Amino acid sequence: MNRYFVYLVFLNMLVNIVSYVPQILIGSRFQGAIWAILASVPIGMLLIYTCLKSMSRFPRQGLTDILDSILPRWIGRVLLLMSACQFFMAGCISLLSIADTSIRYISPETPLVMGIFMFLIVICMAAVHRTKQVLYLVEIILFIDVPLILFIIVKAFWNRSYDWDAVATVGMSYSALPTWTALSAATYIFSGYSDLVVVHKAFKQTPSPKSVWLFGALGLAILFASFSIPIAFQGADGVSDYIYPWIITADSMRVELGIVERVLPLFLLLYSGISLGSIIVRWHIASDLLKDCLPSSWSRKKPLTSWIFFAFFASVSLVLAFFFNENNILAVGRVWLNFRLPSEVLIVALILIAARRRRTS
Amino acid sequence: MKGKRLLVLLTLLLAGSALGGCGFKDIDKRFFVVAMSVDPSGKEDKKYLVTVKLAIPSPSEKFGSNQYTLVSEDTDSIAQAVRIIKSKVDKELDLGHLKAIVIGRELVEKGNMDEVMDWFVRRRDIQNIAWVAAGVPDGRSILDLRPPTERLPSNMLFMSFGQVGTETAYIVSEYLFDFRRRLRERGLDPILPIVESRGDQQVAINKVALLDKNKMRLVLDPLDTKIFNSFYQGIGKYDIQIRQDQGYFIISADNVKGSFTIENVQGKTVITLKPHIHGIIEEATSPISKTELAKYERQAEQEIKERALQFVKRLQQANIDPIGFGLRYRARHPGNPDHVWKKWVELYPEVEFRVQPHVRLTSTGQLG
Amino acid sequence: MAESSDFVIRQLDHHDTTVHLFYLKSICDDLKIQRDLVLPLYQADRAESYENYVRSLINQKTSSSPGQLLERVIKGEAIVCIEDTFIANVPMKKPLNSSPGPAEVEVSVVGPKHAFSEELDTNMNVIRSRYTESSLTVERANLESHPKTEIAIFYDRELVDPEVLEGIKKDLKRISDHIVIQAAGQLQRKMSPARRTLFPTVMITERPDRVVLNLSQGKVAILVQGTPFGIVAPAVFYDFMTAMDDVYSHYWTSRFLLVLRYIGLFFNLTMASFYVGLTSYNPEFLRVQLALSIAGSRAPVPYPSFIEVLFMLLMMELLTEASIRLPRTIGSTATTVGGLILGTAATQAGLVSNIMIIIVACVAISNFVLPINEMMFSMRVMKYVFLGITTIFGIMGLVIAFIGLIVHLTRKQNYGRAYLRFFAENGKVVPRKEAG
Repeated sequence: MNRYFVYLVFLNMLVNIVSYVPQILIGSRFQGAIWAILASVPIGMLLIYTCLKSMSRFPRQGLTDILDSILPRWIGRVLLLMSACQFFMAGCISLLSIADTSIRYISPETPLVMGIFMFLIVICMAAVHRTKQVLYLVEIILFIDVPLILFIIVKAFWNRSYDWDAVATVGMSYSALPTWTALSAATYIFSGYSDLVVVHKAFKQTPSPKSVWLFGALGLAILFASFSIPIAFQGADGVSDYIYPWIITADSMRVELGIVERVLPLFLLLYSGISLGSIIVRWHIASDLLKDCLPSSWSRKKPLTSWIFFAFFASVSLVLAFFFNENNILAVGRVWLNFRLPSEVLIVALILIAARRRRTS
Repeated sequence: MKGKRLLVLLTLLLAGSALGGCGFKDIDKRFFVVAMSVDPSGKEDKKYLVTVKLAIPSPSEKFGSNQYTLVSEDTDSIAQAVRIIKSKVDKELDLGHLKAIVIGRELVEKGNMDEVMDWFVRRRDIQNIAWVAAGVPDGRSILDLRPPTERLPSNMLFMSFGQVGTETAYIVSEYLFDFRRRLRERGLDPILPIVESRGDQQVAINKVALLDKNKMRLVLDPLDTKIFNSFYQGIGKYDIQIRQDQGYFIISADNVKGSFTIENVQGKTVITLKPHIHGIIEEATSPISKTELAKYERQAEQEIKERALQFVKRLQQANIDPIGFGLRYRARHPGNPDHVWKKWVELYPEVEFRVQPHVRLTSTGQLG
Repeated sequence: MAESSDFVIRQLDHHDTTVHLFYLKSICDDLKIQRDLVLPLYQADRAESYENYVRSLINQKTSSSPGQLLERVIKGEAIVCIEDTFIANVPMKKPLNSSPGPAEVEVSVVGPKHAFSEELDTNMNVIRSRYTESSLTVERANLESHPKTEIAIFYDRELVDPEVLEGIKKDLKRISDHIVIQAAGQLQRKMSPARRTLFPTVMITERPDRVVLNLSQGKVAILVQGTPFGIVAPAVFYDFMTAMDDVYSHYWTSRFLLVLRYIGLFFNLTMASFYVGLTSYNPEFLRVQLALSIAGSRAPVPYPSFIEVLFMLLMMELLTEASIRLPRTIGSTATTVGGLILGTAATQAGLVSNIMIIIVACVAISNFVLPINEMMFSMRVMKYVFLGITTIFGIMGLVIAFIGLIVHLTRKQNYGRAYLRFFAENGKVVPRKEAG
């Protein structure tokens, strides 16, 4: 099994906390969040399975080549552009969210735009390089961060303040049907596979679809943790008072025998690493898709092309950071999540059709 | 190429230092607030008397190096008080190490805890793992204690609440986030450990104030505190005195874990409390026989049953629920959360309590 | 040439044959010439048989153009002429300090004790006798410097990645300098395509066992005449963190030491920055006990934390530099005086805090844990970059800078090999093509 694919999916699962998924799910905890979580697992697994199965017919090819095989060129370009926007926005929202939280809790005197600028330097420096190098980077970041993050999550479940009754109280609203937003937020956990649209080009072999069970179980576990831990710590009723429930929850844990007593700084620093990794991957993919949209006379190889894209990405993020506050960003995140699910389904369906056509021909 | 890149980076850094750079404040230019108290103001037109305890760092920590200063201010809001206190001291106030919040007993009795706590929860730099307590006779006098065994100001409070040093079931500790949760959660009511100043720079922490969502309703004495603690955090060493004939014997238990169930028995809601006690006999007034451990277990169970029943009845009468029966009820009944809650509010005064203690004694100590 | 006083022309007459020998007295072995070239002439009965004998001495390197002959003489060969006709040039060089000394820079506890010598021929001998495979290939070449330096390129032709070999040869050819190249480090600097890189891309080692190990991993080794250090390329980040003892000792001990080195690296890079970040930006992350004791010990210090740190680090760098260049006997005195007395005095004078001394000592010690000198020097510089960023941006800046460092290392390429990967394919033989 291709380990880099596992990394990408896993990275996406972890990063849900900074992509407003817990906020949205907690917001609708009495209005269908339970259903959304349960329904998201089969949906996510189905999408991953279909994508992997279909992609295996196009070894070492990306979305561009697949779309070109079934659609007229210009429609393909429009879809690529749309997909690139999705990836860009995914990265951008994570960026705004993590920059806002880390600035607010670690260096409150620094202006937000300045903080985002710091992140942007590193992100652009990394994302401009080849897919393989981006994957190596993700691997290292995960191996540094994940053990400690898992430690925090496991520790949360063992914590005396983890109140199962509060979680069960929320669970008792299982009969409510999910809203579209809640469903989109919950399925976000599984959307790491969509990185394949570009990363597939760097893989020698398509990852085996058998791994889908692993992702199903892992996704459910992480989704449960990211949804239930804030509820268990802040109460079924009080949890929605907070803008960043996870940050508050991290601050509510105490490591008596650790080097640092408070979990919050550790959590934030680890998560800024994880989110940086995820943003780098997303923007790398977005810029690669955009390169495919360029007229063929334009050379892909020119390093300047990528830099222009990243300059564009960076300036859009800075503008957003300048005009929006944390509530607006949450609203933007919500809208983006709503659009993400259908567009993802569309892309997977197109890949499936392309795969079927290739088999019959 | 490389040189140019370096130049660009340097310019960026310089630009950064022009923009950022604020926020740099050395540790010796800060005053750490280690504890804070809120009391009702003595002045007529003001609401609160806010006191902060500022630690004075000493180069070498040793016993008795707990130097501090107290700064107080009468205002209408806590935020305002802190602003004014800032102007009274020469260094930057740093709330990052605020670890104990003591609320004067009078204020807890007066109520409106939501408003008092709002500032603490809203501030981003106050730890959520700060301990909250009620101070008797008032908050300021708890802050103004200087036990000679301390190495840091207020360290005694931190050690007691953190159960790092002493481990005892008489101390109930409450974190800021948990207090806030209890203020908001339907079916789980707030509690506050009571810190009593005893003179001679000593304190006693062995009582708990029980609140409804607004103000203090009940104060538990040390014995009841112990029972409550077994349902709350279940840590610390327990001692349970059991009457026997003319004298008594005492069970020492490493920990007592209380659990409870809510059932519907013939149309009546029944809450069954199940404290599990696993311990040894530590002291006895009359000779104790090793072979009769089972008999002592029954005696102990009988006594614990009576006491626990008395305790929960008191809670029921005061209509408060610090153990979380209501939350458990909500956790077991599906449907619209508001409807479930309404039903519970009607049910609670009528609920029947049963106690099924389980005592297991493993030894009679070093005497057979 | 004749102006040089060590240039010798000897005329030998036997029967009716006249033989001329031309050589440089200073670098040729007089005894050997007497034994191998002079005596046989008087033992030979005819001129032809002597001529044949002389031809048999050499390895068919008969060059005839005057320019090349001159070069041979300079390299320590004797030219034999019979009756004014050139016959042969015979190597007669007197070897200089050819015996390998003990390894001093990269000390190993249980590994082989000897390093390379300064003589290329001896070193070739050392490698040949350790790497007993017929596939080991040696190519000798001259660098385009002035004067020319002789080098030898070693590789196992069955294991080496041809692209890497090609790349290295191309880089070597590119070198044209008017300054003599005498050390491996100098060659490395000239080879590297990025002129001002901070992180080494080839490894410099004095240990024959490391060279042999790397050859068996398909790498290329370059030895330079006149220096006991060799170059091994391509090297990745992971190589700089391994000592030869890792291969020789038990599995768990070597893993432990490896982890220890990474911890040391982390301390070395971030400790000073953490001090600045935590004391000046985020003291709330420390435990309250520690925060108060730092505040207490910093109270008499009049300067901001970063000046305090810079001052002490600078002191430490000076001490390190001083003790490296000083003779060994004085070196230890310098460190004692500097380390002990300066440290105590600085705290008592209220220039730095107690905790600062601990941190500086920790930074200094952890730097020396790194087994390869080049990486040690890189990281020594790197920590100032971190310190600068932390001073301006606080802890958040430190974390971002740390990730930036990882980004920089992962994107670095070294003859088509990724510089930093989590599972470096180091121990594996035949890393011809990277797995995707």
